[in-house]
Formats: sequence, C-alpha cells, structure tokens
Amino acid sequence: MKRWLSRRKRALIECAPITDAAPSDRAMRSALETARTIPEAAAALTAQHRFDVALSDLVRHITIPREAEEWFVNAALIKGAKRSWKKTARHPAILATALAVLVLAGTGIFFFLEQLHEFPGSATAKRLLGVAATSRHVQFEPLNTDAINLGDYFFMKFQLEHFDIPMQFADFRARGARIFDDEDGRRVAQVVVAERGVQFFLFAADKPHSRHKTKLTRTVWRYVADEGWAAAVTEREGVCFMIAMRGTEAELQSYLADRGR
Amino acid sequence: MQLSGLEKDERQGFSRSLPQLYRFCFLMTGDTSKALRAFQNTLREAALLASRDQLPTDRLWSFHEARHQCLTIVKGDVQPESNTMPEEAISSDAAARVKQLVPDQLAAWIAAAPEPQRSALAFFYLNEFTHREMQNLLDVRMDELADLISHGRTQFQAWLNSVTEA
Repeated sequence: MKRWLSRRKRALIECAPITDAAPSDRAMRSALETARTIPEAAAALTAQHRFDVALSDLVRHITIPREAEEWFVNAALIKGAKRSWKKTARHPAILATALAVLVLAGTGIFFFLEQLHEFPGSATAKRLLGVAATSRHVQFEPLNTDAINLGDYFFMKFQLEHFDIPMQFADFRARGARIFDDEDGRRVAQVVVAERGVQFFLFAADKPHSRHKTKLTRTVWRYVADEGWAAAVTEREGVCFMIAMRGTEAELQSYLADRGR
Repeated sequence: MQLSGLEKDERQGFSRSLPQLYRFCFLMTGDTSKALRAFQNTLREAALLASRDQLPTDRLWSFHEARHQCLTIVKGDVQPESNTMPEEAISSDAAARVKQLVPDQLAAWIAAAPEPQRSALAFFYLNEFTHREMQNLLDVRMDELADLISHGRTQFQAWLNSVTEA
C-alpha cells in the first residue's frame, strides 16, 4: 500500500487506531484520509484494520483471574497525588528557569537604568572632560570678547553654524578658543573663559533623540563627571553646548542654579 | 467522607484501567501466574507511592511500571532472538483464521517476541493508547514504532498460516 504514501504517512498508517472512531490526532486523520483516496492503499488499509480488530477482540477476551479481580476493589482507593504549586515551584527545572528569568530581567533593568543616564553626546562629553583637564593656554587662539560673540566668530572663521553660547553665559569673557577634530572626526570648539576652572565646548550632537530634545523655553542639563571635572550638556538645534568645571557634579549643579537666577 | 467529582474520576480512572493492565501483563509474559505477579507488583508500587503522595496522576504510569515489572519477571527466562521469523502479507482470511485462536495462543506468541516488539504489540492490541502515547511508553520514534507493529503483523500472519486452517 505503502508506496503511494509519503514515509511519514506510511508510518502513521501502520499504527492506525483499531477503533472506528475518528482519531483525535490531525496527522493521523490526514494520513487515513489520504490512504482512503487511493484504491490500492484503501484495500490494504481495510485488510490491516480487519486483522487488527480480530486480534484486539482476542485480547479483550483474555479472562481476568479471580486473584486479580480481588485487587480491583482495593486499588480503587489508590489515587494519584496532584502536585501542589509549592512542590512544582521547588522542582529544579522550575527553579533554574526562574533564576534564568531573574538574571535576564536584572540585566535588562541594569541596561535600562544605564540607558536612562545616557544622552546623545554623553560619550563625547566624557572624552572632552579629559581634554579639558589637559588643555594648555598656548593651544588656544587668544581672544578677548564676550561669549555672546563667539557664535559669529565660529561661523565667520570656521563656518560652524549654530555654535552659539547660551544666553545665560553671554556675559562670560572669552580668553581663547580653538577648533579641533575629535576621535569621530567631528569638529569641536573649545573656549577658555576668564573665570578660573571653567571651559565651554560646542560640538555637533549625536543622532537626535526625541526624548532628549530640548525645548526652547527651558534648558535641560545632563551631567557627566570624570577625572575631577564635571560637565553639564544641553542640546539646541543639533549642537551640544557643554560647560566643564573643575569639581563635582553637585558643585556644578549649584553653580548652574546660581547662574540661572 | 464525600469525594469531589475530580477525585472520583481519578479513582475510577485508575481502577477502570486495571483489567487492561492485567491483560497487558498477560500479553507480555504469556503466563497467568507471571502476569498476576507483575500486576500485583505494579499495584503494590502504586499503593506505596500513593501513601507518600507521590503517585502520578498520569494514566500511562501504571502501564510503564507494569512493563518494567513484566520485563523483570521474564528476565531469567529464555530470551527470544532478534527478528528472524518468516513474514507473510496479511491475507483476506486473516480475521477468520484469528477466530480459530484462543487468547492464550496470542499471548504466548507476543510474549515470545523480542523486545521492544513484544511491548509494542502488547500496547497496540490493547487498543488503549494513541500512537503518541505508545511512542512515549516505549521511548521510540514514530518510524520505529511503525516498523515494530508492521513486522509484528506480517510475522504473526506467517505463524497464523502455519497453525490455522483456511
């Protein structure tokens, strides 16, 4: 029979149920239906079925000895125990799975919290703190102007658009400025001001992220700290402005709060 | 004490399968006393586990245990060689020929088959399990199960032809 059917269906047909009721298994039903559509296979299937029914009937006629029947009464009291949820929870496989889920969740939360502290330009900002700590005055082109004029200066001299100093720092006196390329080849403007231990940086922001977009009405500062320096970064029109100050993040926050008044 | 519907079903389910469990033991051993021993050992094991609240509710458990008990009991007997029996295609008069047999002859033939064919035929002709349950009980692949049953049929037909009249 079996040459007309696929290997899988042939195997299923060999184990076809003996009862006439439709099998609950879909693969078995499909194999039987296919076999019944092919005359040769159907004939062989009928012969096989008759053979199996005859043998199954013979099995049903096996007599149960009285000694075995005596056990039937007592066996009615034997019942399987359903696993309680506590027992199930203590199963090593469940414990291992729960542990793995906890570790994954913990890792996910850790990365999520890390991500919360990140912002476009944070990596650059951290690198620039190192630059701020090691810069020397001789590296800068000497200037003596108010910081408000630096936007025009950078545009006129270096064609850097929107490299403007925020208005709250407009009255700072710029003593020197320079332009250099960072590790990613982006142009960075660095400004030393008259106030000791304070520097400004301007650089193009990383891919803008809607979550971090700065509203025009309010300046949002994001902080980084490294190598004894702290910096606050804000983004506007695709350009990050960073104020770097020697000290801690808390000191810088307090300084910016004072400037904002 | 009133039993819940579910508990009643479970208890009845277990006791309902006992005649089939004995028949399985008989097919596996081909001998009433051995079958009885395997059957009783299975129930003792079930009672022991039940007393510890460890008896699984899975109905396959008792058959799995019975198979183990049967194989343990017949371990010391002469074991059949792996399949070298003649095979013949199923004939149209096979059902009529089977009617000439008594259950003991069928049990003797199945009990003489090598493992795991003996267990496969015993499970299959009990007409109690789906093919998936048999795969589970015997721990074999689908094609292996099919092969065991298919060869069992043709070998039984060859034997049937030799012991019965058309």
